[in-house]
Amino acid sequence: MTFLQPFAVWFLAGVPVIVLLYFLRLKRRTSTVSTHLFWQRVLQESSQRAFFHRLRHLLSLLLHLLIFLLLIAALARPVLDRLVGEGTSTVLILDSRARMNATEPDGRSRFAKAVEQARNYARQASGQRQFALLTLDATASVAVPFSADEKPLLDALEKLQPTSAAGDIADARRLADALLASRKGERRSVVLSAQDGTLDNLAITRLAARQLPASPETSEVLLEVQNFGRTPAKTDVELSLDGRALEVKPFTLAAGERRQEIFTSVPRANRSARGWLTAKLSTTDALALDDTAFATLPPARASRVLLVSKGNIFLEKFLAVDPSVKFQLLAPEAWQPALAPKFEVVIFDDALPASFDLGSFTGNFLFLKSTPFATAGKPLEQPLISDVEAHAITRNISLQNVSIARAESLALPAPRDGWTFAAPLRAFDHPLLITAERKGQRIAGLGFAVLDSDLPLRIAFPLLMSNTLHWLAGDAPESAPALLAGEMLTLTDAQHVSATPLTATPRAKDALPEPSVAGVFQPLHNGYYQLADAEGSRWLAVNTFSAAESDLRSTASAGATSATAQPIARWPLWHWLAGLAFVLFTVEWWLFHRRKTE
Amino acid sequence: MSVAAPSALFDSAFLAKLERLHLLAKKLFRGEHRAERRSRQIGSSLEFADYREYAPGDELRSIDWPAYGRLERLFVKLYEQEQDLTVSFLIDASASMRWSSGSGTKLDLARQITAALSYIALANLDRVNIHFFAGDLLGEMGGTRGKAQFHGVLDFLSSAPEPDAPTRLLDSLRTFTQRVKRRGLVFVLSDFFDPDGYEEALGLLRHAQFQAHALQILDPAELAPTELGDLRLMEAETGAALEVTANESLLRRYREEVATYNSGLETFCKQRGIAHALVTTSAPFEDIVLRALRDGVMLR
Repeated sequence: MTFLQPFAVWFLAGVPVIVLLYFLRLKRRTSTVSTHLFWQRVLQESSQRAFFHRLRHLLSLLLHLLIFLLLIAALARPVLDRLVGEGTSTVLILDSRARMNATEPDGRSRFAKAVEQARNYARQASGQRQFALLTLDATASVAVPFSADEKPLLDALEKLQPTSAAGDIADARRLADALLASRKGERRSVVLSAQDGTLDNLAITRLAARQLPASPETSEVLLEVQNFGRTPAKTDVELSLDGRALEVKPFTLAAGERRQEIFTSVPRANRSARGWLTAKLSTTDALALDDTAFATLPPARASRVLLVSKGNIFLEKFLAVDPSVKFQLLAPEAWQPALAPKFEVVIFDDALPASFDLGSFTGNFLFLKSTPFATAGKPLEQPLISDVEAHAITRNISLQNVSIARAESLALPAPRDGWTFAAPLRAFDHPLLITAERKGQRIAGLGFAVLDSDLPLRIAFPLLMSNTLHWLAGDAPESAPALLAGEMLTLTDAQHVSATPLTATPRAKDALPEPSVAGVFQPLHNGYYQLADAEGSRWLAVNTFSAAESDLRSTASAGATSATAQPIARWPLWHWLAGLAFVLFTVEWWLFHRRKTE
Repeated sequence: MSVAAPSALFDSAFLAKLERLHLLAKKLFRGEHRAERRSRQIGSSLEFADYREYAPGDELRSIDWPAYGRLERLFVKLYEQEQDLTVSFLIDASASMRWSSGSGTKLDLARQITAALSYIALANLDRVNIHFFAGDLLGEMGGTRGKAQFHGVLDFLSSAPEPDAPTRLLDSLRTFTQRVKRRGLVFVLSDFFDPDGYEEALGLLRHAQFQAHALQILDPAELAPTELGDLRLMEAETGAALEVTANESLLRRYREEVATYNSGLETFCKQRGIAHALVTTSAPFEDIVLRALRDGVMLR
């Protein structure tokens, strides 16, 4: 026999106390009578039964001790070892995926119903019926290993909550099979998932924001809404940034229809804002979890630019007004190659360093007029821009009829040492702009001085310079960081993430959750998580975005099965012991009041 | 132990009922004064009693002349004489009579009954004696006649003396028979809880030619106690303690013992021509006087 709670044996110390109390019985009640005449006659007869009287005393004490010992035995939760080996082993798979957040027509969530079923099973736990509890969210995991005691099972069920993650029921089944493989006797697994019945649901299945390539100061937002209902549905989607509404878009969706919408001209978040972009459906449905989606807009990041020039008013003005640029002016005599790594882009305005070589310098460079590229003959007089090739530098600009007084006759180099070259601007056979690129390094050389042309007076000038600087700095159209619920993110040593998400803009006085999770981060709930590293902190958006989880029309599609708890078949031994103690207590109470015991 | 004043228990309507009742006397007793009861002493009433032969000295007007005409012998007509009756009340004032389970003491009821019967007797011009007793006679009020003395009776009943000893029926009744020479009715109002028994005491009354009436007064809790559990029973008369664990079985045997005792008293009285009645303190007083005593063939 095994005792699941052996600490109850300590209560045996109470046995001497009971015996002591029994012999130190309570004082008799004093009552006055008119005469002892009849009492003495009755007691005279009773004295003949003294033996039975003493036996009655002993019976009372034995009953008290027996009740006490039975209660201690029940507390100790005994399990017969013979029954443990021959009992059943059941794995309860509790579905904690996003779909379990859905509310049934009776007002209760699917997860609450599943937990209730699990409790019914757990209460049957005994030596003969052992249960293990698995949870299924993004992955399957063991919440409670096999136990004959209902308490750890019920405690775990009390703490479990549904997640926002999508998952595969097959993972849980495989884990359950692995657990059951080593068990003896009857084995089975029970999936506690969504009940029968279909529910209509309208969900946001995608929300993404990225920097607009044509306009780095703005972002474009992709929104996808899908109707998982059996009837057409209407809703409004409210798009808000940092809690302030940006736009409200009405949607009318046929049954099963999915529609995407792109919002442009969404301003990039400035440095002081969080950049929380939230989309929310105006309608309420069975699953509220997917009615709200979260995304972040990355804050604008300024490129550090060094202008090596004797003075160029147009360049200086442009660099001063461009918010994406943070520049410094340096005289050509003060230039040192060691400065290059400190800036994303170095501009040499007709100030080519004497010893500049493509293989020896590191950094991104823009050369104006004097370039490191070889020339092929005499300078070109009043060249015309004849060809503008598609390139990141030439995007959205028009250079027709630009007047150039004089330009170097550049020669397009052949690829070498990992460098590739291109000539986006040409004056017929002569390149006016040469770009060189190899892994981690970019160089551009413009074959004429901007002051030798009317380019600074053209609208194309700031666009050309901006495109050139962003290309040199390696700015790609940036997407905001985002994860799916349950997706794993490996963190570097310097990175930490907050353990709990925020779903609404906190008030000024509210304390934000501190980033504390390190190593591997696997968010299970939707919302905004703060990611901190050496450079600062930024927000990470987490969403479900799973059609399988949002589609509540068929429970079978997710591979889930449901089961109903069976009625209690056999009581555990401690139930019998406690019941017997109760019966004996009742008998003793009855006997005492009948004065059969004392 | 508080004892209520008997006068507080009577109102005029109740007294009017009592006045209509008459004491039933199975025997005729000789009295010193003329009253409303017949005696065998020949007197001058209008009730014819018997004839006897004329003797010198008899009044001539008492000779039955028609009988002389038929029989030619002189006979004198005898008439019954109306005489008074002596009614004595012996009230047990021991500590056991002062014990109560909550419905009034037995002593209070005994005094109320005595007051009622005294009123009836005084209304019939009978002579009333009242005695308290415990270990022996404690107090006495004797020779009272006439309704005008009723207030004196109530005053006497109100001042019941404290008991000097536990109940000793034999000693008390022996003293009574020695002290009261005039025979008549005797009401003994007691619980008859005397460890030495009641037989010899009641037999002494009968032997002294008193017409005895045993009025047994008990508390309901004495007939059927209900208290269960571990008890220390203190006796009211002696203060002795007795430890008892009362259960249903013990209480049942107690009830049987009390019933046997009461039945023995009733049988004893019946065999010796002593009227017996058992009343409890829980019964309404009027019912006791008007019904219970009538059933006990004491009133008519």
